[in-house]
Amino acid sequence: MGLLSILIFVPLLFGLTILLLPKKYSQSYKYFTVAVAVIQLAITAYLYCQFQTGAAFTGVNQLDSYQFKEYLPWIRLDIGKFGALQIDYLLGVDGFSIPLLFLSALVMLIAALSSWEIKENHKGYFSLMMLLNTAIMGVFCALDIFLFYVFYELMLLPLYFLIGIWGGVRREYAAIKFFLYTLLGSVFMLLVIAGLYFSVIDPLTGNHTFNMVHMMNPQNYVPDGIFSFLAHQDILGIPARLLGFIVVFIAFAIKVPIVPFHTWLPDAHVEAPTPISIILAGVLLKVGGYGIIRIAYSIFPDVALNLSFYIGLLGVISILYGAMVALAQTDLKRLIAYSSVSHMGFVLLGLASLTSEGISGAMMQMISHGFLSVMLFFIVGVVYNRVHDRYIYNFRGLATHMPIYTGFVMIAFFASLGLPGFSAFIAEAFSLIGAFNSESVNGLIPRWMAILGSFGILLGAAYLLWTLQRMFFGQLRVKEENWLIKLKDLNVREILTLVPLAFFAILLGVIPSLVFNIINTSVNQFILLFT
Amino acid sequence: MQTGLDIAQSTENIITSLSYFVSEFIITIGFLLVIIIDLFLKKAERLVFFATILTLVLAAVAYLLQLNIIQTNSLLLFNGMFLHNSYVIGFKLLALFASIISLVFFNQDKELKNHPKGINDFYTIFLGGILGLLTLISSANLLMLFLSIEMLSIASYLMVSYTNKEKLQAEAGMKYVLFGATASAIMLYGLTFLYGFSGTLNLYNENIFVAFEQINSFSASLVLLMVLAGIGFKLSFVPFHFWTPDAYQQAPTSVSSFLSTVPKIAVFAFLFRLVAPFQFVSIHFSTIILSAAGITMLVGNVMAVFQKDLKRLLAYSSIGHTGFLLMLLVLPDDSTMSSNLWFYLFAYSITNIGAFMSIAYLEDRFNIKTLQQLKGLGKLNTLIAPCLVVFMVSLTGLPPTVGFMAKFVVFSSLISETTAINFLTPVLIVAVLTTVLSLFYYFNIPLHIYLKKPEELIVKKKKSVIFDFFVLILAILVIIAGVFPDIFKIF
Repeated sequence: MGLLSILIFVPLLFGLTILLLPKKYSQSYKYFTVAVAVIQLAITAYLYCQFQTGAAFTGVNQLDSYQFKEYLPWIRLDIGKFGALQIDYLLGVDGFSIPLLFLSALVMLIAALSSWEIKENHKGYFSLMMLLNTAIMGVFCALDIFLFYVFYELMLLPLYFLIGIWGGVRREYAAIKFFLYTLLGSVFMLLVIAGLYFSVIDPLTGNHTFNMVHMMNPQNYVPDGIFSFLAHQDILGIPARLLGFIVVFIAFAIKVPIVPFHTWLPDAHVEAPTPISIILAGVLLKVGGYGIIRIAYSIFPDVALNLSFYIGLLGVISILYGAMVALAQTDLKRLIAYSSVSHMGFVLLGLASLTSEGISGAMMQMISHGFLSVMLFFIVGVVYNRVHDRYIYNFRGLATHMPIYTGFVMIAFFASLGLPGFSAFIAEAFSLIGAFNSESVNGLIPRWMAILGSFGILLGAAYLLWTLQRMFFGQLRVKEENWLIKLKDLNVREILTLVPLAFFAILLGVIPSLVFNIINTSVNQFILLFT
Repeated sequence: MQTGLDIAQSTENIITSLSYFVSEFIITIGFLLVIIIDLFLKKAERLVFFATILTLVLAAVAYLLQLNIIQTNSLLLFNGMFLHNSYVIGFKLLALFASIISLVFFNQDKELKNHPKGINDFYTIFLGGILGLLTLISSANLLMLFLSIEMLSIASYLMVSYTNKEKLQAEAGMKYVLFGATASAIMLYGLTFLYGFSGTLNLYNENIFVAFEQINSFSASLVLLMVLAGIGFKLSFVPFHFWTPDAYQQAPTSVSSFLSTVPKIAVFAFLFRLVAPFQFVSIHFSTIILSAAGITMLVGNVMAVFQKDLKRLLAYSSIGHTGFLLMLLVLPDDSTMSSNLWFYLFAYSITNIGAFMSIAYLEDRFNIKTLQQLKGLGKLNTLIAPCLVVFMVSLTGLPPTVGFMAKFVVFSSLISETTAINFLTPVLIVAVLTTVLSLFYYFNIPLHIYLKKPEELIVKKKKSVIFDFFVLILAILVIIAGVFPDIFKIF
């Protein structure tokens, strides 16, 4: 049993313990959750430090160069004339997954720390959160596409209940909308997975395989398979590989979310309790981005290359649309939800450029957005927990009343709008450089997309600064008198939560090589898929 | 093989066949025994129950023993009346397994138990139905098919109306009988055509379908549709489904649970053997089956969305699942088809019986019959609520449950055929869309249990340990079979 398995199954074990513990210990559940998150953070930090780079550790489509690999035969299911379904428990990480793994562990810790606000039914809440934790870690470690899918779907169930039971007023609607949207994408993906299985063989054993690394190498495809590179089969008159890519891309685009598949996000974010918003923004959106890189792009590189223009276009639309809608919001949490749509658009734009700057920028944006969106949602949670209101115009001049809080808000806002010195600046700059260079390097996306994308940063500055001005500057005034007593400044637990996030946002802004060095070899290997 | 068959040979065939017929004999003996006990002993409810369960267990054991000594190739018994091979036994064992759980369920059903007529007659009818069921699975002759289906149907009619006291229930029972009788008549008419064209009813006689080459494809398809009508009624695929929701809603819950699973196992086990010859009869066969599958999935799932009554909801859901299973029938390969059918039916049976059991329990204890009444159940911290959620997850087909594995197996065996069978791709898309749609109504149940504002529930009775135990076991089985399906996919 390797470290990755421990990382995945420790929360499950603790979750079962929570379920079995009698109710009188319900106050201790949150400490369990924090303990699990600390253990996981320690493990991922250790893995991150031990992670090696260089030509022998490229990952992506080289199975041997994945690190911390674990392999167990799992399911051998005879399905008649097509032989047996061989599903393996195959784990491993490369430069794309290791930073996200660390990010997830950190976000889970923050979410656990902000779960103090949960007042009812502790047992259900914390055991579901542990289940969610297992699924998240599993998604980033799985190299078998079936295993990936199982973890991917497993995330939905706990989230449905976490939003639906502990959420806000319209929680039922938000929970089922989120579930239906994601499931619609992923069930179609299941068909593609089945199709891929019968198109790909393991070069060593000659059997069909669910190994997604083997799916990335064209020579592993059987000549007459549906998704074969050479056979050019059609499904409903559309080339099979094109259709496969589109299905998988949409499945993950819903998760990212990319305009026009984003409408579940504001509802889910607004209705979810703070810790779940944190997990949604900090990790789940990254699962979408990771899925696009790991599955949609890596398994269908030929199609992705041809569709670069449209993918870049979707990225630009997301950036601008998200930012403009954010500008119009009066609910602070909704504003931040839309800013996520805008920021995740940079991931897509960077990716579409298929240059090493662009892809590094996209990865960096996912990590940076992970820290910053968590910080932003936590900040919203602070106000909401105190007065149960998030309407922007109900607050004014908080800077004098809550100085420490305002300090962190300013860090988070300035970091998010891409001020130099913070991680988001590096990330967005690299994405845009990649997009700008693309026309001269590989001619995939035109320069005007990069230019339009940079307007997104401008709009970002507009809505964030305007919010800062509306809520924190000026004469102190809140909607009701007694709010002033309720609106206490941050307590120690909250400061302890925000400090590491701010620290990482600055650290990565000053020394971005901490991430770039780790992902570099994998990014270069990834680009080779497209040549 | 019919030609030149003299009496000596025929007798010898019967005598050798007898040894393969042990389980059917056991059930016949059990059937008679139950009648006798009920006639001569008073207050023999327990004894009758144990006699019935013993009969079923012994029958299953007898099949298991035969499984050990079976040869790879198929045998025809009683001069071509029955087929005997490992697939047949696999389905029979599954049917018996589901029947045994159903039997325990009958025994717990208050509606049946408190009935003035007593439950013993019910067991007798049940055993009679099981006998018909087992002979149906192994029929190799179309006359045998008709006899078995009738035996099963008559038993089902009686079981549905056993506790008949209200007008609505009488209506449901009547609907069921009339529909069933009409469907059987149409099927019998179709069989006469078959006999008229070919001169034999033996499915494994080469002559039977050769005659069809000479007649035009329209009449061939008509005959085929007529035979399918009888079978379609039992499977309740569209447009033969109208009896299902009423019967399921009005019958005692345990009977609905039985009807939605065990007869389906038997009929599918037989139906898949008709596929090869029928494909030969009419080139339109796959198209007919696929359209039936698509329409059945659509109707079942769309109608389920509007249901308020829990049992009606499950009735429409079972129609939807029938449509899903029908897709498997277009696979060109017999063994693939039967093994995947088996697994899906296994997954469906344990999940569905579990769901019905939970609902019966809720009805018993809290008088919950509709979705609305589920509110407030989550607050009570019962074991049944999370188990019911597990069953719903499995019926939707989400990991890590057996329903997901079953769905995946069906998808993966069909996906490679999309280029070979036209019309399959759109039906697959319908299957995916209805899966998403099904999430909507299946999750109405957890939605009402956990998400809605709780309301006070009136507790009618204390909890029943046996129900708790069985529901929990089934829920655990659903998850284990979802994570390690290879342990369970044995046929």
